[in-house]
Amino acid sequence: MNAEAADKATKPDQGEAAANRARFEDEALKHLDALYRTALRMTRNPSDAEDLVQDALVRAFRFYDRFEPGTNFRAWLFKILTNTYINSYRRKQGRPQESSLEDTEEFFLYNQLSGDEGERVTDVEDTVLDQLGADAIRRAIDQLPPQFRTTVQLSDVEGLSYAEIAEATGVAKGTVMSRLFRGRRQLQRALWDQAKAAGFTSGSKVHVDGPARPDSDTNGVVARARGGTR
Amino acid sequence: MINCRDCARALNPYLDRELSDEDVVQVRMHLDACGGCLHVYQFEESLRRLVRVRCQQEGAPVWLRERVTVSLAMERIRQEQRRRPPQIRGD
Repeated sequence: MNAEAADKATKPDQGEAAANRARFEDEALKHLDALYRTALRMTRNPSDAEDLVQDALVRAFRFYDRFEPGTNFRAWLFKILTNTYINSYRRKQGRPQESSLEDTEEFFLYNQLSGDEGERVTDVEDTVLDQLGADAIRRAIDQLPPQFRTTVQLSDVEGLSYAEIAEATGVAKGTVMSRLFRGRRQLQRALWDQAKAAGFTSGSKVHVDGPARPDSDTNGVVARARGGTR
Repeated sequence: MINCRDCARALNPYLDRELSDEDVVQVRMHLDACGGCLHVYQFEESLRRLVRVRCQQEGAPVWLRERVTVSLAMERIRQEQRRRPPQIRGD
């Protein structure tokens, strides 16, 4: 009798809570692929990535009442993923490996792939880079230093805005922009390294034997342009 | 109109759709007028597409969805047990 009364007393609350939980699950699972891909870039290990996603979603579920409706749920989920990674996984993985990627000029690939004879390449699908498979591109992203890697992944693969990435990674928007700026330049170098490693760059559309051509675009200004985004 | 240097700097935020409407107009005007920058823009855009499309082919393994659903259900039970007042057995 007492138990029944207690059950009755909490019923309306439980009904609402149950609806919230169902909504959480529906909404969160829509982002499962994106969360997993990002976790995989963070941990670089499928089984750790699965554990990380699971832990992050359980935490998010636990804190769901703190989520403010109307704000960005996706950015909030990625923020919990990032925090869970920092708190539990990064320590386990030890010091991040230092990246061996050199910094490069902007538009590195465009400059590499454009011909000497003023020939312009306007679509990457017309170049040897089109032969790069998904795993080669992922390996290239994995070579970026960790903070660049996550930022580039969230922007270039998952399509988050600067503001969303700032929230997800806990940094200012300006930091997101500078990480993207440097991360993307390094990614171009890493993609080139992947193409070279696969032996694609001996193809006819690429000039790997000739001397470096620092400025191959018509006005030279584009290739030399340096500095951060505005 | 902005010059090539400014255009090159604006190219990534432009591709990211993070420029103000006013700056978008400036970049478009420059790209309409400058073949060199237009080629770079087209190349960079196609590179972004290549990276995005190929990387998005990868998804979570099928069993992860199930695993997550199960662990959320378990978490729900834990929460409910905590919330429920201790039951008094009447006799």
